[in-house]
Amino acid sequence: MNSILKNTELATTTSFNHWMTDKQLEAFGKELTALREETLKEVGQEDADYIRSIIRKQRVCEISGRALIHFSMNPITWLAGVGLLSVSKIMENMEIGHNVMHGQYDWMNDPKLNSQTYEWDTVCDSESWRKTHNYEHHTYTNILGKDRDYGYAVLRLSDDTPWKPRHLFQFINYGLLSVFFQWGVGLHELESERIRRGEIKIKDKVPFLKRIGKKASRQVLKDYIIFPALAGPFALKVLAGNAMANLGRNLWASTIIFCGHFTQDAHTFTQEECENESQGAWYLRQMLGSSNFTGGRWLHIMSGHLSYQIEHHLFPDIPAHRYPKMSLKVKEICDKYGVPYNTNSFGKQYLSVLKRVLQYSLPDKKRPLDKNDNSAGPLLPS
Amino acid sequence: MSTNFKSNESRLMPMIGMAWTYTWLYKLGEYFWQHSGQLQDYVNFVLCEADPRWDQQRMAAQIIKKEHPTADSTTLWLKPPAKWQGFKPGQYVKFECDINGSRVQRCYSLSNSPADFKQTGLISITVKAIPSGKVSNHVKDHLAESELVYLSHAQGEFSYQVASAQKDSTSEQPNDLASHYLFLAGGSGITPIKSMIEQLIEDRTFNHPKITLVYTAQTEADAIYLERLTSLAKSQADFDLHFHASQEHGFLTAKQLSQWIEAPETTSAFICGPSEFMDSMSNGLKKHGLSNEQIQIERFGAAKPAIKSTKGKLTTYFEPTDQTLINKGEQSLLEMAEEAGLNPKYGCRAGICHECKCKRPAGELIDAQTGEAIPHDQAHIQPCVTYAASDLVINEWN
Repeated sequence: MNSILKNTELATTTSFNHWMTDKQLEAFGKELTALREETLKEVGQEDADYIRSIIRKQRVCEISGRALIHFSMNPITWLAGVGLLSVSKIMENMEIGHNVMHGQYDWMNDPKLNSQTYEWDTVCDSESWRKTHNYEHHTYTNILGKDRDYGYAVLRLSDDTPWKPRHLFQFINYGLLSVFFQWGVGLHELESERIRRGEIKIKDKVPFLKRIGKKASRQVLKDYIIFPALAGPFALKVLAGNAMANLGRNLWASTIIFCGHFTQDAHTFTQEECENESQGAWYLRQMLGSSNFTGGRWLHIMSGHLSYQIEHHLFPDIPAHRYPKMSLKVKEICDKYGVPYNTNSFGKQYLSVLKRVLQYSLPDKKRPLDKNDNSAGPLLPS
Repeated sequence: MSTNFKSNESRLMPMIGMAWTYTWLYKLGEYFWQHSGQLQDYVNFVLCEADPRWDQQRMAAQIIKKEHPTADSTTLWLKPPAKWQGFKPGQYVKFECDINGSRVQRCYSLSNSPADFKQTGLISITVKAIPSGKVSNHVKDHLAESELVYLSHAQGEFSYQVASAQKDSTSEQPNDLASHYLFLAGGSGITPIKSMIEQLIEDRTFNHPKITLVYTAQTEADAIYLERLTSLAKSQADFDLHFHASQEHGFLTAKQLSQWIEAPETTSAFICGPSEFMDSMSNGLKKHGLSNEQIQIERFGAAKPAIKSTKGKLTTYFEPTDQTLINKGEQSLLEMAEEAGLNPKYGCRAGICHECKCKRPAGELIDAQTGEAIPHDQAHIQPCVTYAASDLVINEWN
């Protein structure tokens, strides 16, 4: 993190001035906005063809996956079916659903790819997602107490949450959250932690519960009742296959998402330092709070290009398959202004997430100090 | 994809279409799957993979032939799918195609007759390229034979009462009394009128009105279908064609109309063309004794407001996205919203279909169709035919 020190010119107005002066921050913001506009000009047929080709692959996977699960006569074809259905669910959730709901393809005027009407193949109701993810998480990225994605109200990932003995077992919670990830995401808007603290009443959440109830029951009916029933005497085989495919998707999605903001070097922010934030400061926060991982083309597609979490947070409504190209310019801008660009291999980033989850399960005094740990609270140059 | 359009598009498809619409599987899908109908999407996906013309969710029409009747116009001959329900002469379709990955829609009148459609299975639209027109130029320059475009069912009220003329002589429709059909066409306004004339001639055995067409365009070279109409007029005793080249003879005036109106009480008039043309012609007809009921107008393409925006720049505040837009000259609210990247829903862009809608809590608006201010108690505004006349606040877009 030494690069940061280059830019500690005098400044007092906001804590972001530890990184850059107001002037630099403004220029930094302008460069990113220019990149955004430049890319938007190119958006067109190529992007339409891209998303349609992904949708086609996803549908072929789903249809063949379900067919294999249904008609398999041996464990190998059954497993292949489970794999294909899992892949299809992952593609649908990550590269299609998530990106479409960010409005990346609204310009196509295709009612089936519209952010306001798209409904994805998971328990989470899309209206709830637009609120908790597109609005809360993308606006207040990594601001402690405001970004409820940070730890999902289950995990302690920074010093700002006072340690309690129950945190000793948070690794188990993390495992459970991963296994049932779609339910965690689906019930996110319930704000159970605030209900527990008595800040809000369950009564306030009735409209939400009705919505999620409807969506979740449809999902359960589809995967665990209707498709198994269609298989007649082989219902159990289909039920197990669908459950496995959902599990595969849950574990994958959770892993990808944790790598986006909870790696060791991802920063957190206090509410005070983000007050009256300028455009440049907003970009800076999105960058510092996110982390990328490297990999092959299909790893990026299967992660919905959240492997480019930094670019995604800077430009959430630009078609995601453009992030790899944009990242070259983003890195250049980062170098120019001395802002760290948090990236590493998928394996290393994931290990650092696990490390963070484990570290913060211990009380502060017991926690092994990491010299490079920037995660703890306020944004001060190290 | 099979491109052999002449082969009778299998009878299987309408059956699948029917089964699709009524089976329990469909109902089940609609009820239990996601609200946009995931199950249906998958069935449709398989059908479209087999042949994109089998799309059950949209009506795909294949371009069979492309012609350029004049230098700046294009006629597309389209083969609509079996489920397309046919049309009355004078009606239009919503026409949809992809331009640079994004779906755009316009309304175009059908220019051939229903009788012709019955015989050939094809329909035609003729599109005049407008300078800087997005869709019209795409149709002219880029759409190619064998490509697919998408259609709505035929819509619109601009038509004569062919059904009552044929079957029900006791109907009280005013058109039944007509013994003279007077068509006034300006420029590309000829398209729905050509369809009506051809069908009328086809239906002569049922109905014997006299037909007069007054067709005005800048020059003969600009007049679409002039050759075809001239030869029709030569071969049909009761069909008179009068072509008026406005570049040479000036605009057609209301006074000139008198020569074609013999018995006002039994004349039915149909006008289509630029809005100034339609206004002056319908006023002229009224002066010559025709009542409102005897005059039908196809108001395509909204008129620009008669009242010019007041001086200075007007701002429009869009509450839904917290954006303040500057009104750059004569833009409709829809165009303003599009320019601001709001991606509003729209349909005909002519105040017909009510696809685009918004609410205006404050400010003055002009209705382009009447040129008059929109009263404040009018709940829904149609942005495509509405212009700002003061600073505005818009909320609840669509």
